[in-house]
Amino acid sequence: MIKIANIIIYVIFATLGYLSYLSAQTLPEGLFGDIGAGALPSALGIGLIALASVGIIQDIQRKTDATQSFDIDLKQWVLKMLLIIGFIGGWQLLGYFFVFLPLFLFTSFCCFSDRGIKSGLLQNALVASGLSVGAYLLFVFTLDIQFG
Amino acid sequence: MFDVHTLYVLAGHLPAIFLGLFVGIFFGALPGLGMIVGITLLLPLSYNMDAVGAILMLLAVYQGAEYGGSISAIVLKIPGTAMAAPIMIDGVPMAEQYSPGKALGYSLYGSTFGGLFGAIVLVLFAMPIADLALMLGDAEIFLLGLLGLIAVSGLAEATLVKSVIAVVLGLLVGTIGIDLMTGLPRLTMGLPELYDGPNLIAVVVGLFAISEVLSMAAAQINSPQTIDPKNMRTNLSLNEIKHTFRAMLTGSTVGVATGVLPGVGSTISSWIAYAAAKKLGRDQAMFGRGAPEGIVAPDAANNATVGGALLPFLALGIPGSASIAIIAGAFVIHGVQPGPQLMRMDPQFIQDLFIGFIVTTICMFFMGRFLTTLFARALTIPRSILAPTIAALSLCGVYVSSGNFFDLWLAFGLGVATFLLRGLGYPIANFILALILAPIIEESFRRALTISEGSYEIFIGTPTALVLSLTAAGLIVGLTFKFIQKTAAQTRA
Repeated sequence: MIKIANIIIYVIFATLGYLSYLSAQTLPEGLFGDIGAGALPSALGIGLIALASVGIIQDIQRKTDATQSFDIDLKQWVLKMLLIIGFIGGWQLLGYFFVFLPLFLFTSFCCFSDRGIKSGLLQNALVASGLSVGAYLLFVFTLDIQFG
Repeated sequence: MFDVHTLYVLAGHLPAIFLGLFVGIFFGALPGLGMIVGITLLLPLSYNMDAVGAILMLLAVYQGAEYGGSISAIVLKIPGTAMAAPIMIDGVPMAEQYSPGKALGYSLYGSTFGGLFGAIVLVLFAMPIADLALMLGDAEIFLLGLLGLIAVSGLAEATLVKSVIAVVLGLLVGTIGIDLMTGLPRLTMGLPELYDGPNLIAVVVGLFAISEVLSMAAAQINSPQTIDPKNMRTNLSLNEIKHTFRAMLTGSTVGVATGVLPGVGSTISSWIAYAAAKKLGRDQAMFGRGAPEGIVAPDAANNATVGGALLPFLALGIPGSASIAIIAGAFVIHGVQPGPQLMRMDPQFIQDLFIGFIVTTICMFFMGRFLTTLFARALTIPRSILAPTIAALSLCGVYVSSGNFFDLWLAFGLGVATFLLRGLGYPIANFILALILAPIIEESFRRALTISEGSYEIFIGTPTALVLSLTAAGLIVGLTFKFIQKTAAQTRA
């Protein structure tokens, strides 16, 4: 599993290196001794392809599997990602930051509590509200920043 | 050195210093989080401060976290930071034999001594080194930056290929934006949001805060910790302090020396300091059974590393560790370019910074002395509360820094990518260091070539450049040889 993940990431890096190289080729060459704006990105792109290739060969040749473990709680991880996406997306589309902030905090506190979703609802609501009021006082009241 | 203006400026910055220390000790004490998350959370706040206050606040996080790591090491037997691991060897037996407060007292005195030692070395040597640095040309500056990156690549615990890939990616991301020499946009994919390069705060929040939050969610590290708040008095007698003086001095010297070297950092320095204190100790048999010298030496080394790491950064403008690289971001945000010119052109700024750094260490002592029990109690906060709070506050910080939703998505995307890459063993510290060093390295390289009209001889043209080039070449050859040997051994296995 780790071996496959490693190789996939190396392929992504090699592609990234190639795209950087292509993009840098469109830049004009430098004058009066300067190597030009595209030289470093080009060199780094080639370097990335070379390193990723070495990494792929190394991983294929390795007889034993990599020792690192990638043992994650996928459900919790995806849930956390979705909550963050919902928080940023909701805030961007609808505004009302100080509605989304306590909502995000409260939902997260409940979802990740080891005592289960339903326990400590009042405590979670109070902590989420308290933190949101704290954020309001710090950012809006003290620093005069508008969140929309 | 102490003039009325400096004292006036410092008095205004005391709240920022205390906030930085509080956040630093708090995050340092929480296992798995550490100083970089603390610095990341406070970095956006620094936008609304002047340069001295912002930098002192972030340095206070750095100093505070070095001490904070010892709290969980001694109280919970889990080091809050990697550099606090050697403190456990004697800290835990002492806490069991006497009290956690006694062990934390030694830790606090060691940290304070190390912090002050590092600050004194910084004050004494920064200016002479900056004077020497003024004699360096673009070729030498490029080679120094390159040496830093090579050292960081070679010293990382990851495999060499992954370590170098992290550096190359950092450099590549560092080239995104308008090229300063030609005015042309590079690798921006047509996005105007990237013309000034990726927002540093969004990058740092993604790399260190969001990825950490996702790690917490994925690992379900929500196990509640319990502590006994009794016996947390951190006072020591004069005799007890005198008894450990030699170990504190040894640890501090090791800390400053390793702090100056790029990529070495506190983790290695604290282990070296422990070994040195044991070797020089009066009663070596006591080590491992609660020897005070075994606590003060690594703690002094940890805090002395901060002053040591600041030395090349302030004098040469080259950050040597991830933490200093993020603090360098605060310099960039405030339009301050660290290096010999800053030392010469703005001595008042440097003076305020130096005195502020000493004051920060003294404040850390008092905060540790009176609030250690509070920080120990913080260890009982469930991760289900901490993780979402860190995510929300850090995203607020990104928005505050630019008012742009693109940066929030950038931070999130980088956080997800970093989480995956960290799981595969990529060293993220290398990435951020390369990102900060990218403009320094590229501009000095290109300026050097423009001056020499395209001749690469400029990189061996002076004795300093020749020595630096040979060192860089030697390091590359050495690392390549080590890599080939290791790969051959792995293939045979």
